[in-house]
Amino acid sequence: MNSYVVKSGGMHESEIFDPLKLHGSLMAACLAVRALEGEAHMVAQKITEKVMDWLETKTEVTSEDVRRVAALNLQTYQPEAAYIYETYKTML
Amino acid sequence: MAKKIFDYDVLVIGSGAGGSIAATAIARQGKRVALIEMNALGGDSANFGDVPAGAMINIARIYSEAKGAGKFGIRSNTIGYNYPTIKAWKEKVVSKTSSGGGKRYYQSVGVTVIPGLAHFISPHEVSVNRRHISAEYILVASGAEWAMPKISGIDKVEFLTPASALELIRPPKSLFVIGGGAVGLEFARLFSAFGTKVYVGEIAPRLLPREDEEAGKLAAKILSEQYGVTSLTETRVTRVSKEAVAKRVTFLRGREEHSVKVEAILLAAGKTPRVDIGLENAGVQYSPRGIEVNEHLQTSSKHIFAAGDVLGGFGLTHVALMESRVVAHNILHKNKVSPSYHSIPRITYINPEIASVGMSEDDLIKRDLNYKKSIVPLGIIGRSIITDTHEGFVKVLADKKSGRILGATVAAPSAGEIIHELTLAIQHNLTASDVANTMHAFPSWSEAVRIACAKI
Repeated sequence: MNSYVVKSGGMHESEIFDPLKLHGSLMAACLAVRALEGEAHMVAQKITEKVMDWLETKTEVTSEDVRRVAALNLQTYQPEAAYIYETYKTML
Repeated sequence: MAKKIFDYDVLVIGSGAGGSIAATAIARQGKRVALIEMNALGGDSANFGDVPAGAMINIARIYSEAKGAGKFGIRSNTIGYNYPTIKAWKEKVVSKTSSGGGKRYYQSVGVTVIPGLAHFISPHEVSVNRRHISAEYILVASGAEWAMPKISGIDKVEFLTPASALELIRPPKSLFVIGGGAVGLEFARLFSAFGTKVYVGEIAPRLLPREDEEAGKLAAKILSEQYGVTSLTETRVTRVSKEAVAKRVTFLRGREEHSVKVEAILLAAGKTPRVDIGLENAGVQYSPRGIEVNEHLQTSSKHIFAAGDVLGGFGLTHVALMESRVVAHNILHKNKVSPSYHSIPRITYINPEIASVGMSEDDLIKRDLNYKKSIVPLGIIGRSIITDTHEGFVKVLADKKSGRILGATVAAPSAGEIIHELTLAIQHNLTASDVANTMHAFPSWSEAVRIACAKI
């Protein structure tokens, strides 16, 4: 089942959740705190999978939801990157 | 500025006890109401909890009583049971409750039923199957689900919840119940009545830890003597693992590690509120314990209310029903009311039933209140001799100075009915003398209530 992501406030058209887009933004957050590329890829992969698990039962969520759940999981693996990720404004 | 147009006046998330009463009461006042339900209409209690469990527990009681009726001259040697028929009865009972034909009922009172999982996308708007629905007021009554305790290996073995345990095609040969609260004991009693060897693991020093000490001790005694249940108090389950087709449960008790091999494991160690519905997008504050509300059951977003198990309080259907009524009133009227929690009856359906209301003795000690208590064993009243039922008691706690009843526990057949006399007494600030001076029929179980109040 595809999950859709609606931008905050629901003012825009929703779009299908793109795991690659999330992976990319997580990679960027990890690299921003000087994580090695291999480690950044691995962490981003792990978090993306967790977000996809969370989305399993959901048809539509907001971009803020995706950011929040990803940041919460990132906290376990890369707390510094989680901070960068949480405070960075635009993701989707 | 023009008033914002919403799809509905009120949106109710969850058709269980916390949502259904409010939805119908508000719709009856001519408001446009939508009710969102992700599962079966009627919620957990009607479909997977109190109602089906109650049906099965009642059959277990009939079966146990019939088997033990030899002493009264009833030939009971050949009594047996047919589990598929028992399950069929349970299904029939569920179909007769609100979940059967429920949609038609809601439509008849003007409530639009929308199946699906609700997720907030903004303070006044939720998404259900990608359909955006807005409302002026929203009631969150999304309920709770059985909590997964932190036990090593729990994610690698198949386990039962109180809901899935009712779907088994036969009683397991052996069962380890994690959690010695009311629900855990009810399932221990249910399956042990049908021949299952049951172990109950409880982390507290006694079963029914939220109730008075006498209740927990009696529960352990009768479950052991009548049904062969092994009660493991002060027990922390540390690990579960697969062992061929069985499961091994490892636990710490008295600083020693023990383990038992069982066919099934039942998790009954509390519930966790369903709060993963995008509450952040609506500005609703919550914690893992549940949604935070004020005395009028309003959340941090004033147009959003919450009721029932999602508040993380008592986990009782009648409390959710009361909260739902309060929310309906507060949405419809300007003079807001608050729920009253000081006289909530609680029942554990074992044999005899154990029911309590108001404060426990532990509550009184914690609050440093001066109190008097009296305990009357069931064996002293006529009904006990007539029915050869001796296990049980009535305990009454009253304010030392005024005699006002503050709490009570009844362990007796039909304790779930008897307790309401004491609930009424607490609700209306009656004293123990008021109850003692009220005529009670002879022979009845309630005589024990009168005697306990007279002894205060």
